[in-house]
Amino acid sequence: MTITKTNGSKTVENKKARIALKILTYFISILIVFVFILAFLPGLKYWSWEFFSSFPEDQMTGGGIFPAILGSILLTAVSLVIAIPLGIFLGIVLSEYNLSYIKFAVTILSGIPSVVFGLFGLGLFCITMNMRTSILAGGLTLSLMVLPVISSSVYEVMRSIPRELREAAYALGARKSEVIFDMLVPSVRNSIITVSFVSAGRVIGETAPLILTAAVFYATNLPKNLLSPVMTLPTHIYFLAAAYGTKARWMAEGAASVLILFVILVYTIAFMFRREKK
Amino acid sequence: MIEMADTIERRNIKNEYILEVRNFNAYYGEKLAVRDANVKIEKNKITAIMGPSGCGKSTLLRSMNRINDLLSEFKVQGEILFHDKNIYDPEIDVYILRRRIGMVFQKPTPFPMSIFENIAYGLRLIGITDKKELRDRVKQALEMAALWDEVKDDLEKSALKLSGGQQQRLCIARTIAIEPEVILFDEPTSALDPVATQKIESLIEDLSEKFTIVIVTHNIGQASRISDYTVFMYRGEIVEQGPTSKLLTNPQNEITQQFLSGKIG
Amino acid sequence: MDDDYTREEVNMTDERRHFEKEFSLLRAELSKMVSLVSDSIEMASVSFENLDRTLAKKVIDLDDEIDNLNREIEDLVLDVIARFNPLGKDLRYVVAAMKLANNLERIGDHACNFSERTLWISENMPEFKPSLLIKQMFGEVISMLQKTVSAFSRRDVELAIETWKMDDVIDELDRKVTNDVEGFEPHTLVLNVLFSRDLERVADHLTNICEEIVFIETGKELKSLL
Repeated sequence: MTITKTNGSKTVENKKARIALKILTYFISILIVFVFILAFLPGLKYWSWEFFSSFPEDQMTGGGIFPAILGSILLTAVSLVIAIPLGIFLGIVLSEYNLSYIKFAVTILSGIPSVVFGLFGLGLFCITMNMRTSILAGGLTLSLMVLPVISSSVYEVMRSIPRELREAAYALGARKSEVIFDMLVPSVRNSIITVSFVSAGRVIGETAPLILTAAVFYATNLPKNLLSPVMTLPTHIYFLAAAYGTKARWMAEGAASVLILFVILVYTIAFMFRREKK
Repeated sequence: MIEMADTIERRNIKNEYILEVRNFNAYYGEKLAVRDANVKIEKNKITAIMGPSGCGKSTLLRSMNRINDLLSEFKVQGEILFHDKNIYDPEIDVYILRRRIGMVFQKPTPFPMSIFENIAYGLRLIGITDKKELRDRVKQALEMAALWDEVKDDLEKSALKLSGGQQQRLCIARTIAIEPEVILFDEPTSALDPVATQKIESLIEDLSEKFTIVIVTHNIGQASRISDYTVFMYRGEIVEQGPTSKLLTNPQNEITQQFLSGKIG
Repeated sequence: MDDDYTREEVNMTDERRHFEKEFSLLRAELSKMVSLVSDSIEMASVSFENLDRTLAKKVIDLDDEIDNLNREIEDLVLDVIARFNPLGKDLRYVVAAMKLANNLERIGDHACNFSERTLWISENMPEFKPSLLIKQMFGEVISMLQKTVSAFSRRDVELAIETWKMDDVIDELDRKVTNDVEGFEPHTLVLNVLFSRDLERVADHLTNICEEIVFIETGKELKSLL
């Protein structure tokens, strides 16, 4: 008895479409890898313990990028500590309660360019609230910027929960808060985490808002407290390119690789949580 | 808020009408879905509400535990009395009402949690936190829903991994765990295969010893197999109602006869 | 035979169509049986009056066909109930059809008996003259039969009730025959009594049929509507 495998109907159109899609996929993948290679690989050769742990020296021709690394970590931490809890909460509230004006405002906010946020942060935090150029000002500005994005993603996750589940919970006599926090949220816990981290990944690479609110192009000391200014990886790369010549190029490449590594790390953590506990 | 629903006495006289629908009208916005309904639901009996699609039977059922309150455009006129008190009275605590009148839906809706947690969810809502009591009551509910033997070795398994029929029995277990007096079933087997359907029909018959059952169905066979009393609805109105065997052998209304003959719906 | 069981095809489901087909078949068989039995009784009456041997034989032969029809109708009814689960009026019709067929079969049997006796008389008592009362009874029974057939085909509840009452007349005649024993030769007496009793039985079966007609239409016992 012969067993014949059925390979699915492969009509002529089907074959053409499959080939076309395959080519497209490979092309895009290659493009991504290409960019990655151009940006990531050149800087790798400058990586060394010294590079990571020392201050820049000799007009950026020697030393390392330690303050920038530290500054990036601090700013990211500050902004996410504020934005993630608030963003998740806002997303949940918007999805379960009928607040159309706030929803509208959040949507608008997520479309505003980052440099405008920088100006806003400069005006409000640095000048009016007298924070000057500081981690706090930068952190607050960044969190304002990423809050609507986190909120929208969490909103979508909540909206994806089928209506029947809510009804079933209400039918047991649950109050709204019990339905939301005892059933809905736990059932999408992992998706919420993933989605928050993915949104958070954006923050690491922000440049313009930080130039206006937190970053300096050379810090002699490490930041003393939240009101101190810092160097960050993206701003440092910018300053190197803008103000220093080709002699500093090596440092920019090295810093860029470190930055990309951080982004990869954050997304990796995000995707670890991708699957819900089933 | 006065928790009137909780102070409503549970009288134990036989043949009492535990629920009474009086001159009840229900609207979705401007659209009248149920017109002038009058029914008395007898305790510990199975009452079927049947009719073609769109006749208002689900709306009527869902008005009995006020789950329709969740819909923004829903309005009612008239009364639904539970133990002689109108459930639409503003002083009634609707959350307690829903614990005394439970509901099982058409599509099985297990929560995305373990089997144990699904049932514990309702128990925690009524304030049970002691681990032993939770375990006992979960077991009791699963036994009553004829599901215990199939899942007893794997209560931590996700409920989503159960078959359709098992999921529906889980939903039933979840509802009976909090010991309601009435259970409303909204076409509970229309999403299931014939074998699962039969199991659930048997289960419902068994449950009617302890609970009062109201079941909505568009399937005449189902109504005839398990119900004691049948209410026939058409285009929002109750056309005829009576003991099931009488309604099926000698309907008084021409529309009822046409529905039974398969000429409408 | 007219009926309102035939409706516009417009809203009918396929299952309903199958049921209607089987149902029509059942009605047709029943109609056929009604007319056969009707003919049987009428022919038996004529053959008795005229001692017509040919007609009598015809009636006797017809009996097998009547019996077969009864069995066919029974099978059809079981089939329809098992397959289609009819409800309400449909159910009552189908169940009553079976009882109707049974009653008709018995009437057919009586017609056959009349004819067998007619044959015996024509061989052994050629000078036999049927009593006027018996002739009258035959007349009444045939009239009752025709009215029953009419009430059945027109589903006329009032006519059925009216016809049902005719049983009293025939009972009265039967009593007269049993009392009127003066001056009759023994064989004739026995024959008169036998015919009278059997005609009274036919009338009984006809009242049963009238009761079924009322039950199909109203779901109620005829006696409760008097």
